[in-house]
Amino acid sequence: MITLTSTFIHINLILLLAVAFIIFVQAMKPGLLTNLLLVLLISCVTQDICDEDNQSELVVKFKTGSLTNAADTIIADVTVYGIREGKTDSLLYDAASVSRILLPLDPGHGASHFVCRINDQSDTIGIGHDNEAYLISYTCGFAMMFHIREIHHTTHVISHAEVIESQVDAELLKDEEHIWIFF
Amino acid sequence: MLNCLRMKNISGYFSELLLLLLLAQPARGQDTLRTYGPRIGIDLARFGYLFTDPRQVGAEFSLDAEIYPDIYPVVEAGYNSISGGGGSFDYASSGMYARLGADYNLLPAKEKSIHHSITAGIRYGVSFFSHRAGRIVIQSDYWGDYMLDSYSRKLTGHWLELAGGVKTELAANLFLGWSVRYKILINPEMDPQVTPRLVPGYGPGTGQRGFGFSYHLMYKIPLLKK
Repeated sequence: MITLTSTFIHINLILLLAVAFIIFVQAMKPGLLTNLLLVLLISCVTQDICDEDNQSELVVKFKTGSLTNAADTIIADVTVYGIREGKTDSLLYDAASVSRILLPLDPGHGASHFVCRINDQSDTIGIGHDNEAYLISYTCGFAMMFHIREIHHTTHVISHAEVIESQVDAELLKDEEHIWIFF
Repeated sequence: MLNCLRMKNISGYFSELLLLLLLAQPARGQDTLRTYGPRIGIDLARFGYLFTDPRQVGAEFSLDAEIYPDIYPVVEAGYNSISGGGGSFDYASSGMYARLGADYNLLPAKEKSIHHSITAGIRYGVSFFSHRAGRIVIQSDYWGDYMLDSYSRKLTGHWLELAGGVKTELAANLFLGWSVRYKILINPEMDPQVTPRLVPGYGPGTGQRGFGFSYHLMYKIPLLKK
């Protein structure tokens, strides 16, 4: 009985002394040693590097045929840029041969407009979307969840377009496809 | 004067009666001196935030009593806040919480003349808090970064705890002890848009399971002697 009792007291006193020691060290030497220990401790626990994508991109797949009978296709000489107000055009794709393009959507507006030029013929694509911010993580911050409402386009080269998956978030999955564009 | 005398008499009788009652108790070693009453305590581990995470502030009080042999119903209540928890944006979360539950004393009966305890217990926790985020920037290399309005929500968190600990009676009615807790968050989806960095009383809302540690300093108010 006495050994059990004294074991309790010992365990408790050791813990109390440990706490008291930390308080004492903090009070006496707020500088070098404890800060170093704390930094070491915190750096071991938290990870401050964001290794996740925080920019949401729309995946457009090029197709031939119809929605029920669609086949992948590679289009040559594709140039794509977004129509940005008050900014110079910046090419997203420059004369590329692609079967799939990634388009960043505008987080500040309810629609994004792109020009797609193929063999000197241009089509304008307009995508209407609702924007909803969400937290990825406390290290990566916020990203935008886009809900695609509608898609409009001119029909010089493009025959039609279909929304396959209306939710566009920052996490880009391997086989993710949001829009099919038919030629 | 007369009143005073009568009062004195009454209290005299009362203490005499009490003495008789105490003496009438069968002698059971130290157990005859055992006291019962509510125990109030503070959690010293909450001050640990000053050293481990200065962004946090916390305070916690507890109240328990052995209402039935070995069974201690417990109420724990406190306040907890964090500010500056976000990396690239401003963040703050703060609120009150309470835990209700009971501890069961596992210490064998022959040890009970001294009031140490080893307990296992369960708790239900509830937290009423609010959190907010500001200076939120949605990055876009192509369209330009977009700054959002500040965001805030009032939330309620629910969780369960399994608690185990040890308490030692250092001096008469003064207890020191610790407990470890395993926590299970019941509603991790309380805010799907912004998972709270801190659910007061529970911990980071980003984890559906958590651990906790408390260091109790308690005083038992000796209301009843037995």
